Amino acid sequence: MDKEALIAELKEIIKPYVQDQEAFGNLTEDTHFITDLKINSANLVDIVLDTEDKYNIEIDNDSMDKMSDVKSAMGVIEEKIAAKG
Amino acid sequence: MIGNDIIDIAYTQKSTNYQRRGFLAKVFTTYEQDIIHQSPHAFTTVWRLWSMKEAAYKWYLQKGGRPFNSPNRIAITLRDNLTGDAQIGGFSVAILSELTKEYTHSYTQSSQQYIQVNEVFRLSQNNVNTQSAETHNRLLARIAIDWHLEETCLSIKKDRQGKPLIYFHAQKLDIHFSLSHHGDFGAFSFLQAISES
Repeated sequence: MDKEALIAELKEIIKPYVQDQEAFGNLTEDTHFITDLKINSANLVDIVLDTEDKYNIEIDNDSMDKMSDVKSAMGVIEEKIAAKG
Repeated sequence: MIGNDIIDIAYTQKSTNYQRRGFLAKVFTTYEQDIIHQSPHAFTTVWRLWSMKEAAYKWYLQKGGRPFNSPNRIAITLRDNLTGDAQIGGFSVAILSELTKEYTHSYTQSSQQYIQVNEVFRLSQNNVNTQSAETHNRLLARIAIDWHLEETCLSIKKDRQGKPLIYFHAQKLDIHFSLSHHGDFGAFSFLQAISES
C-alpha cells in the first residue's frame, strides 16, 4: 500500500478520538498522538483495537509501545501486514 | 517521585467503552481481569485500576523509566477498597485512590519524610486547549501559598527530557509534583519536605 493511502486510512481510524482538531488538520508523519492530537490514553487503546480490526492483524505489547506517532503507527501496520504474507 | 491521575466518571462513560471486544485484554493483566469480572461494580473497578496504572506510570517516568504505551505492562494488586500496589519496570509503588460518584483520583504514596498534598477541582471549561494551563495555574497558586512565594513569579517549564519543573523566577524549585486533567476535572499532587524545626 502506498504511503498516502495508508496515512488517509490511519486518519480515518484516529479521527473519532482526536481532541485537537487544528493539529489533526495539520497532521504529518511526525504528529504525536498524545502530545499533538491530545488523544487520551484510553482512546489510544481504542486506536490499537480499531487498527487490529481494520487490517486483521494483532498488535502485541512491543508494537503498541511503538505506536506513539503517525510514522511509527504506519511502520507497525506495514510490518504486521507483511508478516501475514 | 510522585504520580497522580484523575478520571471524570461521566466523561469516561461517554468516551470509552471498556466492554468492547479486546479492550480489557489489552489493558489489564489476567489477575486484574479476574478482579474486574468478580467485582459487583465492574465499571468503577475498571477505572480505579486504570487510574492506578496511570499514576504509577507517571511516578515511573519521574524515576527516569523509559516510556511505553502498553498498560498491561503495569501490574496492580489491591489491598483493600482504597489502596493497592503497582509493579512497574522492576519497581513497586503503593497507590491510594479516592472514589466519588463524579471522579476517581489515584496517587502514589510517598515516604513519611514528606507531607503529600492532593487536590481535585472542577475546571472552568471543558476545553482541551485550556485545561492543561488551568491545571498548571491551580498548582502554582497552591505552591505560592504553601511556600510563601509570589504566584506571578512561579512558572512550569519542561526540561530537555520533557519533564515539567517548577521555577521561581529562574530558580528551579525542588518540588516533586504530578498533574492530571480529564473531562471536567483537574487534579494535582505534590510533596512537601517536613521541616526540621
